[in-house]
Amino acid sequence: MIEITVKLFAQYRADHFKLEKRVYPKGTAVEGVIIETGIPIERFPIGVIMVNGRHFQESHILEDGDILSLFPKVGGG
Amino acid sequence: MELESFLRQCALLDATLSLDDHRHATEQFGLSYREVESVALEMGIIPLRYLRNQSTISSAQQKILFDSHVLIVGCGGLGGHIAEILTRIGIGRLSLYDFDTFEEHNLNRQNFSTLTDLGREKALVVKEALERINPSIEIQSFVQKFDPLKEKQRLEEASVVIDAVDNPQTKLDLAKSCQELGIHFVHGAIAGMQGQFTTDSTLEQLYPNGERGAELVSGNPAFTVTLAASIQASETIKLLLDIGESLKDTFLVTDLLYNEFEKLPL
Repeated sequence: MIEITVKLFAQYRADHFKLEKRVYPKGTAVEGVIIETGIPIERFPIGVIMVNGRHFQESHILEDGDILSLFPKVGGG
Repeated sequence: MELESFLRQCALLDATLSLDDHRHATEQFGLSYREVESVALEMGIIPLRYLRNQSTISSAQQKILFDSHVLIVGCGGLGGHIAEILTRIGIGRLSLYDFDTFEEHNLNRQNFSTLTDLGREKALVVKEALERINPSIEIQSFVQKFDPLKEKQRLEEASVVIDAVDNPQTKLDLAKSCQELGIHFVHGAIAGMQGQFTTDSTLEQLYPNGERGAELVSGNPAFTVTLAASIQASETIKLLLDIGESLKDTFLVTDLLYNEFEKLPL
């Protein structure tokens, strides 16, 4: 198992959390965390994914101790 | 009397030029406000309207701003407020683009949207309002959708290009064109109480595709808009004056619901 610090931003926090340490099976990708947390990506599509402060895709495989930050897409002007 | 002597006399006490003297100079010498201001700034005399810019902005820097050209794409929430800030601070040339007209649902946040201007073209209304604030600024407004991939010449004429559109695909295209042309590009976007910003970066990392984001559900309240406009305006001023630290290669997220400012590398 791996422990991931998951940080949620803006609209993802409602009914969820700001920051939590969560445990996942080894080999879990970012996408797996998105599904497991149940954040509302249909309503608020994913914008930026950061792992340890660097940009990655949803397919990125996480490692024990990673800090994953998820930001909804923001496009208003 | 020569204009220079006139200005020198006007500025004897505090090295500023009052609006009354500015107006007298235009009448006496048959010049525009812009022409008089250009000569005054060249002489180190600043129009009184800019006095409270100092000493954050020096007289020499005021001249740099006067000689600058900023292109603002979008005259809605972000663009209208940014345009006002840049006009008051003394950017010499502004180009404004917006194809849209003011509608009732713009009244919650869009600068210069009033009951009397509903139905009118945003780019024209904003230009008129800015000219009432500062007659020395050269303002061109274009009632059209800006196509960043086709209008590269327009981009090349600008010192800084500001992203104030509400369409991720246009944002992506604008960032790409500016990067190719080596022109400063200031990105901003909002949704609900959240804002995001970066400077001189392409936006592929922020927009996986050209589809709309959280703003469709969360809307755009006025306080988020004005905060975002302030950040984009200050980025622009820093780039023009080459001061401080810009958001180059940096992703700034603001969240007023939690009073958070998060800065991450891009």
